[in-house]
Amino acid sequence: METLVQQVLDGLMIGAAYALMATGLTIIFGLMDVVNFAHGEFYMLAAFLLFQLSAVMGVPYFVALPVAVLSVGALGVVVQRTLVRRLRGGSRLNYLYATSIATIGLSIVLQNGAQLVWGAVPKSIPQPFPTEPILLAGVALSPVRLFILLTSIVVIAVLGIGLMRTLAGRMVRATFQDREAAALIGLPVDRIDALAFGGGTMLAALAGVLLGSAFQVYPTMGGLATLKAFTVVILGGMGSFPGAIAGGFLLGVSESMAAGYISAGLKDAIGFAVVVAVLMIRPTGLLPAVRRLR
Amino acid sequence: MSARVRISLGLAVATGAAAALFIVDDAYLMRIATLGAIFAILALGLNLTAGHLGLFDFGYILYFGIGGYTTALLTLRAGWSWEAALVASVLMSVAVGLLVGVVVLRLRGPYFVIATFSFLTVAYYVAINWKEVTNGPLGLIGLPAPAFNLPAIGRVEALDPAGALAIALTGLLIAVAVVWRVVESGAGRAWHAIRDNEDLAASVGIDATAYAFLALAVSAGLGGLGGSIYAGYVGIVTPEIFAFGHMVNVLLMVVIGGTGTFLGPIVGAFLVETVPELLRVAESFRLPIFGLLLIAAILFAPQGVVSLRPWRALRAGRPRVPPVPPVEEGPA
Amino acid sequence: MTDAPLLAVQGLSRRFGGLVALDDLTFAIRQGELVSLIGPNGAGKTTAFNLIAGFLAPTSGRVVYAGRDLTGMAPHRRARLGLVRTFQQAAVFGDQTAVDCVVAGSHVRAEAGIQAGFFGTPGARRDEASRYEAALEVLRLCGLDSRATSRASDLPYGEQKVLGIAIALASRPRLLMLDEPTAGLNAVESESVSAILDRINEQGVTVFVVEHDMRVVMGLSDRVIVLDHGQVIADDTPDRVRADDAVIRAYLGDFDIA
Ligand SMILES: Nc1ncnc2c1ncn2[C@@H]1O[C@H](COP(=O)(O)OP(=O)(O)OP(=O)(O)O)[C@@H](O)[C@H]1O
Ligand SMILES: [Mg+2]
Repeated sequence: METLVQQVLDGLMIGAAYALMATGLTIIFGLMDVVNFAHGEFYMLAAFLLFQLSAVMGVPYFVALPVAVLSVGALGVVVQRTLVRRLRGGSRLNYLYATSIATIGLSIVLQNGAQLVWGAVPKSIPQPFPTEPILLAGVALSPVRLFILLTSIVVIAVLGIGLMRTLAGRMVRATFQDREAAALIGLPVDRIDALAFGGGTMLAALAGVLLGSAFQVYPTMGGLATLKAFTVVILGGMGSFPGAIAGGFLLGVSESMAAGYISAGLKDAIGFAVVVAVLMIRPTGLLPAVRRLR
Repeated sequence: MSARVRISLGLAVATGAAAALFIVDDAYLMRIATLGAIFAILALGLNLTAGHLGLFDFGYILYFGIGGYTTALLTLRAGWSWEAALVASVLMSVAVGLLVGVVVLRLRGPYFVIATFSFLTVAYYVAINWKEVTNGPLGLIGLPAPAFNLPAIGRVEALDPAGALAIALTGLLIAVAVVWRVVESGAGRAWHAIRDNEDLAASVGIDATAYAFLALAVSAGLGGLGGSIYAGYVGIVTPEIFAFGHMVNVLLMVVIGGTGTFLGPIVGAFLVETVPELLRVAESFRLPIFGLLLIAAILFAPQGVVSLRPWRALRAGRPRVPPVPPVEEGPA
Repeated sequence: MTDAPLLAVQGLSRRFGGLVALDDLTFAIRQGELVSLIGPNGAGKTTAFNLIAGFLAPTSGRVVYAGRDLTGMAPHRRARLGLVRTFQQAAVFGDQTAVDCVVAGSHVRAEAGIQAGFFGTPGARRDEASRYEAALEVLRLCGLDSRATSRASDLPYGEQKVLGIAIALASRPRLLMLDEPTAGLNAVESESVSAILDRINEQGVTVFVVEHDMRVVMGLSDRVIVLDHGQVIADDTPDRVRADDAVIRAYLGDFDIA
């Protein structure tokens, strides 16, 4: 029983990070039709920045963490302005290819760049949490994991409220639903894109610094993270925020269960097997977006 | 008429290049050319869906791996000859392609991309974990190298660099012939119609689903052909045959060469195989530079290198495609 | 045969969430007629076309064409039966030349199959050549012969609209449904489109057209169906529709501004 609770909690922690990644990915391709293959590299880069700031330069953890996330978000804006935006103009199909190649190119540059700067040996981020587990109703909770879970939930909640309640959030949602109509009524869709790309990469960055604090940091960690984010997006229903969040937690928990009860080696395969199953039964995912897919 | 001129010209250049390779007889160059030819088969296959039909199959390497594993299992475990295993590999890939199609052909755009990619990833993990059949991460080792006696030419062996190149080029020639005829058969017109406007195509009676299955089947078959030749050439098949890196490379070949064109994927294949080799001098900066080159290529030649000016001169008779990309089509 | 209509729409409804776009639509079109469908913006005309041609599924009701219930039939299969529609927004195969677009339109008219095409049999070559000839003929009919080798997406909007009609004609429809064929066209182009409609109707094609240009409607139509808020409010000869109070209230007042 206790191990079960433990596994569920572990799954929820990883799932929270998946949910952040997938939400970021959904924002980016919901708005810009871009399948961002560099998503995981932003996640990796943020973790390395946190490592550099806190471990190498001695910046306090709670200062370094937001700095790392914001820097990667700024890089996201730069990428949108200088690269992604320029690829519009051809047919839909050409745009899909061009953005895919561009983000693949970017991921190669970032991954190998990180390897040149930090080397291939995995790094650990020193973090200020006590290693003593907190005992809660008989379940041992590691403080860093609790921090990860709570931070993710708070960020997701704030993001949700922001999207629903603020003006910027409404503009993003309007553009998300119907880009042409949004442009027609005078919304600055181009700037909304930049904002969204920055925001989307920031979510990946946040997932990176959080999981990077609990596990190790290495240049190729982004590849699998991108795949996981894709999986979650399919699982949840493409283009849907509630789906991305639910899918993230679902994948996290099922992986952790699979690792505990089936085999640790199969952990990574589970998600993709679930995806194929979902696609066969319900090709639109669990919580499909309301907007019409074209 | 102009198509014929272009094709003869292409054939002449290719024959010249191949002849030069055989004369120079340098093992390293032949190895690059052999891999170029094998991947050109794949690029031609991917171009059928990604370029002609307009669906971006990001799991295409699945068929490469299926072809490789089928060949490995049949030759090693069932004692088949490589030639027989090759035929079976092609058929197996087609079958898998049709099955995958049942699931993915309901999706479009980015969703199709992610769904096909998921199938590839599942295959990768199956290959790693289904140890009884695939021998897990270690893979299947020691495939017999293809070898035959050909009338007039004599003995061709994949162990010999020139023999391997000859086999790969023969495969490429078959792929070129198949693609050329299928595209010219009327299926090409239907694919282009579906790619350019699926609703309009349906409104004049074109069955998008049937033609999409056709594209997927032929493209999967070519993937299997490439995979089988590759397996025979390298003599080992591991789960890495499903690697993301292969998928990215083949995609690059198609897009950098020129989607939906005839020569593009072939030109792209040889480019993508050679450029990283040339970059070896850059040592540890090789891959970052390659990444930057990709970004540059897509910014400066978004329609592929065969759409660039010097190439376009060869395409006389065809209407000139303006250098400025067309404005995006509005929704129906 | 003379009595059974070519197209019978029976109690067709469609909702989008809470919005009732079409409400219990019933009407019929006889072989050889030229019928106009008019109504204010958002009345449900395009939705009606989408349901009849199979691009959207009805919430309830059915479409009977040439004596067959089309419920659940895919759009391409309806097109093969001769029920062909055009689109309100210009729709062409953008990456191809005008003549290639029209050849693609005649795809289902190809006599030789894909296998014959694969092997390049003489039959397949003849077929290809004759479809090409026929496509040029259709382009001439539509006044686009000088544009045959232009890329479709490079044509001005009006010509793309006409090219859309040419593509539909190449499939040799029995019932041709056109969604606002003259919207976005200049006066000359508009005139030539009405002439084309008149001409193909004389050649025996049944024509069903959504139209805003009243001169076209009144001049060409055998009958006019008026739609408002998803319901048929009039179905009569042009003269009588013009005099109908309900139509004037619902529609013509609003039309004078346009
Ligand atoms: N796919 C859709 N999803 C949601 N609502 C739709 C959809 N298609 C149409 N509608 C709504 O249904 C109603 C009827 O639309 P329709 O396009 O059929 O009108 P129309 O008569 O063709 O108008 P117009 O003259 O502007 O072309 C409108 O209120 C429209 O907003
Ligand atoms: Mg309309």
